[in-house]
Amino acid sequence: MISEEILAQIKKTQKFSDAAIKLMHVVNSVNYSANDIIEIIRYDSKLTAIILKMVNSAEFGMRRKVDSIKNAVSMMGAKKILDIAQEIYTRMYLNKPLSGYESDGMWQHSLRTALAAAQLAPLCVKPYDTEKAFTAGILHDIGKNVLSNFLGNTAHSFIDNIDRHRLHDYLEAEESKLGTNHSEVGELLAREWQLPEFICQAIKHHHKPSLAEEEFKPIAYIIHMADIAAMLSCSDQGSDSLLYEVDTTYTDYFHFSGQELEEIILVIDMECEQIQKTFAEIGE
Amino acid sequence: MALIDTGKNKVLLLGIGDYGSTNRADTEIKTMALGSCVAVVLLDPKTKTVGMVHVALPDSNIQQSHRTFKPGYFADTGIKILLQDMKRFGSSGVLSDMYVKLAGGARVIKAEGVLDIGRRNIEAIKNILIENKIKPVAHDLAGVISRTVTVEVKTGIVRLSCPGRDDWFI
Ligand SMILES: [Fe+2]
Ligand SMILES: [Fe+2]
Repeated sequence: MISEEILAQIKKTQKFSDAAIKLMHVVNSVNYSANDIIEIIRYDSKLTAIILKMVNSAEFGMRRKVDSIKNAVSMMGAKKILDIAQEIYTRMYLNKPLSGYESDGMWQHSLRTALAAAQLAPLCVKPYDTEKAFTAGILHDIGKNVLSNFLGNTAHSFIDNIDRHRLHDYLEAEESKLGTNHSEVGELLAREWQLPEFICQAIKHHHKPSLAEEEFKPIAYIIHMADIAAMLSCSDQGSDSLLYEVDTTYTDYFHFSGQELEEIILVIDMECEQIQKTFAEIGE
Repeated sequence: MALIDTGKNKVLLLGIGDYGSTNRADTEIKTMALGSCVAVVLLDPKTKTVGMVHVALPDSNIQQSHRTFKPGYFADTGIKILLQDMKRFGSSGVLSDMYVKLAGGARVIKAEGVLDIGRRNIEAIKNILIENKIKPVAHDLAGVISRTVTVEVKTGIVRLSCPGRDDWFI
């Protein structure tokens, strides 16, 4: 049973902007047009401004100045602009400290999970759309935004109990204190925001993908593995980092070698560094 | 890599795949939240130079199909470039002249085999040490702990920290 206070907090949690939510629905439609993207972004002046700053930064090395979203889409492609928009949201909405997890923010972890998910999607035994995997990766831990304030100073005792094998992992630790965990609450939040079903399911099952319904198993396993890859690589991490269990049935969905996993980590680190540099350059 | 002046001391902050060294006693070298990465700390007793490299993967040969990334990112090239860097402070550049401390190489719960990149990092680094006929003077490796590693140049003491745990030292 989820407490009334937590249910109330789900309604109060700061929502991503309308444009961000609309873009997530566009991703879900798979065969979106460039125009769909342009029409959503141009009505969000803040997003438009940051995208233009980014594409005109030295990191992108464009020869001509890009002065409109339409221009940006025609020069760089709709997919690239969609990716940039999502990177910006990740930074905008997931960069706040989460005191219950002793974390300064989880935008890098979220972005790394998204970047890993996009690489893992085509490697899955049932290949999945990379753009959808990326979007689900960004949002997978959104439930922590709801739970953080209810956890108080639990980190020390949670970790102590996991070390002593009195608790299995951090998910069980959350449950021991709150009767729910960040996957369950994250799914409710995603439903409150009316996000596409594949995102709700990915959030709900990202730590235990074997429990997902057959249809949603691929995305659940992709996000599960992407989350692990992101926790292994180094970034903004909280008290819960690494303290989750691998669902060992992942081998039914992935047959990658150790070296292939290492290449995925290398690509995440290279891309993430590029994105961080760009944000630093434009001062966002 | 960034040099941060806290007023009390200076902190050389290393990102993933960064390396850095100094002989300034008022400085600390630090790297954050090591997951499966390993921080290799080299202490040169002759020149009092201290260096650290933040190694993320065991072998630079993996780059063949990608553009080249930071040399500090890989165990093989990372230790080499750090030794080279420490020569700026009169160090010999010879690994067996150094004291070595290692920290990191973690995993998630129940991760074995393919998923245990931390173990492969540790093995790669230990093999390099064996080739050079040395052993680490101290280490804190593996497990399910995301370590932040800070070495105090004045003493060579390495402080380990992790959200939700008390600090410990090697
Ligand atoms: Fe999670
Ligand atoms: Fe996560």
